[in-house]
Amino acid sequence: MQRTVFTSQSFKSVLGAVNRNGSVTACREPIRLITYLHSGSRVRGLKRDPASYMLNPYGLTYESVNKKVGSQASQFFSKIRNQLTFNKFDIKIDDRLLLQCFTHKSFAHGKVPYNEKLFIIGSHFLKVQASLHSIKSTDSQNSSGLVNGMNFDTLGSYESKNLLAEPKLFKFMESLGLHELVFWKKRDASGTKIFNGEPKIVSSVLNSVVGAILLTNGVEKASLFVNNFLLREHTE
Amino acid sequence: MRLVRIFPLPHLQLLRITIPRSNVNSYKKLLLIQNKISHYSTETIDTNFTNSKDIDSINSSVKEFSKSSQLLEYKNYYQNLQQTLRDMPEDVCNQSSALVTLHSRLNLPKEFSTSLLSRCLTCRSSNIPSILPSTDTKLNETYYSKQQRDNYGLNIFGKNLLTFETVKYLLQKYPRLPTPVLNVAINAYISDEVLASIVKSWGVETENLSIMERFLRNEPVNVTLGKLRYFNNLKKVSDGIESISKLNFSETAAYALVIRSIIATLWTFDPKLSTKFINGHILHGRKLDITRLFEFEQPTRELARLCEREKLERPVSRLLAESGRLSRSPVFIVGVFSGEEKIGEGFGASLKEAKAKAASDALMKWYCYQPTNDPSQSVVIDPGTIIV
Amino acid sequence: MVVKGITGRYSIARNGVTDSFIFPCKKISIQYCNWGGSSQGIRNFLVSERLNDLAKRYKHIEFEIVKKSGHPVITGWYTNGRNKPICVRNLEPNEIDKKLKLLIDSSGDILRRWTKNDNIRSLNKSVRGIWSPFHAHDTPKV
Repeated sequence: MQRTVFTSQSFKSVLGAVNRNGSVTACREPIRLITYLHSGSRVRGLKRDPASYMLNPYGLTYESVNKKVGSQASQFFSKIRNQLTFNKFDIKIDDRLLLQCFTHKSFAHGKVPYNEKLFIIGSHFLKVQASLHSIKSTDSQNSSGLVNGMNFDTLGSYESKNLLAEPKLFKFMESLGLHELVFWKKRDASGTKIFNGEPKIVSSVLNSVVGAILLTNGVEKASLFVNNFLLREHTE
Repeated sequence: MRLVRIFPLPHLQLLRITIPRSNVNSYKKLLLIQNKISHYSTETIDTNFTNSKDIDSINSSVKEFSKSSQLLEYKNYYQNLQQTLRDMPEDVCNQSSALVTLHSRLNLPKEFSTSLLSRCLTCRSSNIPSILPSTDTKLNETYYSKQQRDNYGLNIFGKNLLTFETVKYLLQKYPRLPTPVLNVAINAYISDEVLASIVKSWGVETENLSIMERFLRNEPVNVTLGKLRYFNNLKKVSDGIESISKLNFSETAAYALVIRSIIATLWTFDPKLSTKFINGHILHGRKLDITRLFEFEQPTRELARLCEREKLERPVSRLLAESGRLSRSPVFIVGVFSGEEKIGEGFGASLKEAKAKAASDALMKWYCYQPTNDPSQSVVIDPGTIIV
Repeated sequence: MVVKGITGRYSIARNGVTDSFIFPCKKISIQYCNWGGSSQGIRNFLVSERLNDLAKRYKHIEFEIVKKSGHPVITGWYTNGRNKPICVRNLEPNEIDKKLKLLIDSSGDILRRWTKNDNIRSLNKSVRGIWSPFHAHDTPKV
């Protein structure tokens, strides 16, 4: 069993009064704190060693990626950028934001930046783009219902709804091998993929990447990325 | 009563609506018979019809009236209405004063024809079946058909567009808004209730009259085109018992469809038009106090976690001022400090209350942070809501 | 997650803050009698070109003419869901014109007597905040 012990000076806070001129009259007593970090099987009431939980289900540690220099960090980011063809669309996203996109809320109890908000805006943007795709790509069989040359009748169909749905995006991420790079925590270590919600988490990563592109690179690049990369790769 | 409608158009004309007085009684009789036919044919359980004499008398009167010219007239009116609703011809739509004035009131572009506006008012549930329905609207079943031009697809696209614009607006204005509050705020802007109240304020009315009543009033078809048409009866058959429920589709939902389809239609002309419409009528045009949507359960604990995550000094609460500690109504003012900096302040009738309010104040300042409009400031991306 | 959202609060309409302004008066119905002497003025009004001019000028208002026995009434229908009926018996066309202008220019709200201190009504909080005796001694920093 590994033991880590460190000491630190800390102050016990006391609810004290402050004078009008700002000077604190309350007393502060210094106390010594010793923290024991536990690793291995979980024991109630003991603080866990960060090294034991700061890694994703595929064994990748967060620390190795979060460093500014290091071969593993550069490998991690270059793999994401290459697989998602950022260069082709001239998309620039810095490493910290990209890491945030690949971190789910369940990871490390929300201590590190996670992708929830990026996912929200990205998913709504994807919905608009998917419905645009189905409006424009349909043949005008029944031309009676056209509005300004666009056919809205295809919306709401099964194909249109599932154009960029969760299982499809998960398969796509798996084919690119990016699902192993996502930082998240299993609900139950022995449970199945569906039980742990892996498809949902991995597809949310792709949504949040789209959200990040939208916020940092603008609407034009984001819609190009969605139309010429995501939607094209799907149909092929 | 005579109705004359005037509408502001170059081809200004007066429409006279008159009902021939001599026919009123026979129309009433026709209405009665029509009601009975529908009851009889849909096999609704009705104790009045258990008597065979009644049925005989109805049969004879049905025969009598099927010959009469009024039934034929009604049939013609019905078919004309059905045809007009299916095709929505531009010239008939332009005669509808409700449509023309609504178009002008909303300041819609010229390309946005009144026919398209009428389509936005047509819900898929409003389709008229080719068989003559019952005169009692409560007994009719909702009939779905893809033949007619309706706002079904427009609504879906408009909803996607509207939700995206709202999320973008809120996240650009308040990047650190927690997700539960963000969801509530989205709802506060674009829920069905809000959208319906906007559309109602525009003066859009629903079509409440049955076709028979419209026929008896001799109402022109263009009046129907200018009203919101939906139908919410759902017929269920279980063990041979037919029941009609109204849970299918509410009036509020039907009103919300209108604004979403108008947004989608505007988008087809120019995406800038739809954005301007959304901003003007829904986002900038309405006020929402975001701080009233927050509810903190454990503010002090949450603030401690926030300071730990953001690597600030741990928060300390200090009493800043007090009055009447031993009186019936004491007031305490507590500030919460992170190091030297005061990050929040609160008042209360007890130290505990004031401390909690100070922590809530500090959290509110963090969550409701608004970036400057300065383009040199890079986009603020939220690291995530605090998990305790 | 500790912070929660309070449901059931909706955004408040503020017509006219943006350029998409909705005119409050949406419909005016003019009710007249073809027989009664009190309708003589409104009959003259309807025969003249005045109403056509109004309809052309206010394209966003729907004008409806109803023939019904009794004193003539003009009613304005407003976007806030209220209506405003005005009886125009024995009035000359010029006076009816004024009453119509009144209906068109009205916001549809009920008439209130505003007290002197109630001159400013706003959805926004005061910029200066509320005076507090506990903070009154703080010297403002410039």
